[in-house]
Amino acid sequence: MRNEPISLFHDAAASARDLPLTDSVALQRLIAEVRQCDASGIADTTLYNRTYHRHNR
Amino acid sequence: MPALNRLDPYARLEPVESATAPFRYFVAEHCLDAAIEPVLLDWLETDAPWTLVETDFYEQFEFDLRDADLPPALACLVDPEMLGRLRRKMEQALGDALAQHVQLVAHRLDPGQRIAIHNDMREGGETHRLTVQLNRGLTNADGGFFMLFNSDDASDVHRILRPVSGSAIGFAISSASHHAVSRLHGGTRFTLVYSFYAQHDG
Repeated sequence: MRNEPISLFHDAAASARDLPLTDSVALQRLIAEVRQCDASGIADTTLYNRTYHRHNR
Repeated sequence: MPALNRLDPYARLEPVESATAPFRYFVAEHCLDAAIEPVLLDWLETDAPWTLVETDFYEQFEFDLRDADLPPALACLVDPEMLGRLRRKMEQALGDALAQHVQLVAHRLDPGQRIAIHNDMREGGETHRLTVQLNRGLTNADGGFFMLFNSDDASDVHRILRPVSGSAIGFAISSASHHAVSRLHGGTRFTLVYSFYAQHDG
């Protein structure tokens, strides 16, 4: 079982699966893309849960 | 041409790695049958009944495969016996007993769309998820990465997985199962999302 965040890769397959977390500029862009904020600008990760999968059927 | 309607589309699904932190999950590769994948991609790109779902917090195309008029070759994706086998694979991979009921939803992200950080946790909702990636080969520049987090802080990244077609991520939903999909910049990113419910005694 893997219990630690992954920053180093031990095999080629793992490196193909994972995007390395070494490019800080690219990483910060990705983080900004997925940050969750409500109308007041406060981060709230439950906002998505309240609506997600409500429209599927 | 093999008899696709009698195939088990997930016969090859086996975890290649598992983790218990920051939440319980596993990763699988090449899990979708090689004969099914191109047929499914063709159908998703041409005839699938997509509906755009927009809220204040996300936007994506979705539909429930149980309601769709599936071509015969894809009927195996919702076959009850296959879903039972898939449920048992999830039980073996994550160590939890699951109820018989399984949901299957298809998602589609187009360029510009993303799914913000969330944990899928809802009172009385699904307890386990299996997401299967499908696409024509997305590059790093295309984005659409599956991101896992150590907490509800988007900057607290645990891991970033490329959306390799045929790969899958299974996880137990909890208050800690924070994940997201980064913005798609090119191509089309399809996902099959299987949802499971924990078996409750009594």
